[in-house]
Amino acid sequence: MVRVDQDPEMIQVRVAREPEAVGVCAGAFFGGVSACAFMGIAGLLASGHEFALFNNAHQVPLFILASLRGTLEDPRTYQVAQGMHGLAYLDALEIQYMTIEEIDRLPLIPAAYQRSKLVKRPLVCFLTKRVLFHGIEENRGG
Amino acid sequence: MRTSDCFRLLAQRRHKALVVCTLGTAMGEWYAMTRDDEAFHMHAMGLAASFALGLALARPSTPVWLLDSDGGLAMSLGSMLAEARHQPANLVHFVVDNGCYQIIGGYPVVNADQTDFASMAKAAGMRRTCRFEGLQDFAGELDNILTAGKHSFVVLNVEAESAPNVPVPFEGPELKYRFGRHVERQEKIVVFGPHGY
Repeated sequence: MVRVDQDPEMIQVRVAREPEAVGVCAGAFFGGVSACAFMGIAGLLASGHEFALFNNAHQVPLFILASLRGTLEDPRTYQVAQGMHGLAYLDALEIQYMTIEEIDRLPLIPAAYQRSKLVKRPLVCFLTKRVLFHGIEENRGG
Repeated sequence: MRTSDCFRLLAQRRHKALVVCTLGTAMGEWYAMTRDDEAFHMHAMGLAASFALGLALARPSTPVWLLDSDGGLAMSLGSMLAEARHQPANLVHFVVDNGCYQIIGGYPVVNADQTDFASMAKAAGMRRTCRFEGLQDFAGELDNILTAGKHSFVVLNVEAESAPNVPVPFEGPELKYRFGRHVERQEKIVVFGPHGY
């Protein structure tokens, strides 16, 4: 987030709740600007109303980078529910997702972004904890 | 003060403003007044404020009018924080405050008789906020609001009325492409790629 803030070609819009990011990205899309929402799985769960009633119903693309938490190797108790329900929730909403598990697969992100426009609905690109904290001590950030 | 009278004043001044309407009173009354096929008629409550913020930031030289409602704003009060942080100079956020959900028969918005959205916006950090209870006052200030070149948050305290029987005759993907193509033509930009998505 700090690096995004420092990039003069990007505008970072911090939101109080993830569904707002859905709206901001949609507005940017109609303004001809590329946009990406950053959130965790809890944010995906919170945004189901907007995905269903807005993105899916109107075929408005949305590219989301999300942290993949609550997996078997994730010991945090506050991530368990996200891990149990998150992917099934996306399946129910017919939202595609992919997972980047290794740092050398990060170059797939531009193609994933284009894919979100092609499928005309949200597309989630998960980043594992290993990717998110690459080069940072293992347990930093919870 | 009636919503339709307020919107008539706005419609006369629209020029090239990109208009975003939230589901409910704002969308129904604006369409009944204007038959506006080029506005974005938001069919999901609670999303219009953040949508308009993203649009205004993406098109900083074009006026963006958000025709919001008290019920829609109440669903996403947190969006006022992001709006206050950015306060795009080209965004005017109108809130039609009739104290009720018009299209479901007038069921009251929670705490409607006590909530002051203009004060909430000011407390969130928005610098230009105002509230109008009479049409004459609104008409007298409207040109100043629209030509100031500054972000404004404007609450219109209007009468609760029955919904106009003029539904927006398109939805879903057609809404997306109508609005997107309008933005492309007016702004001379590309929203959809060469294959139409």
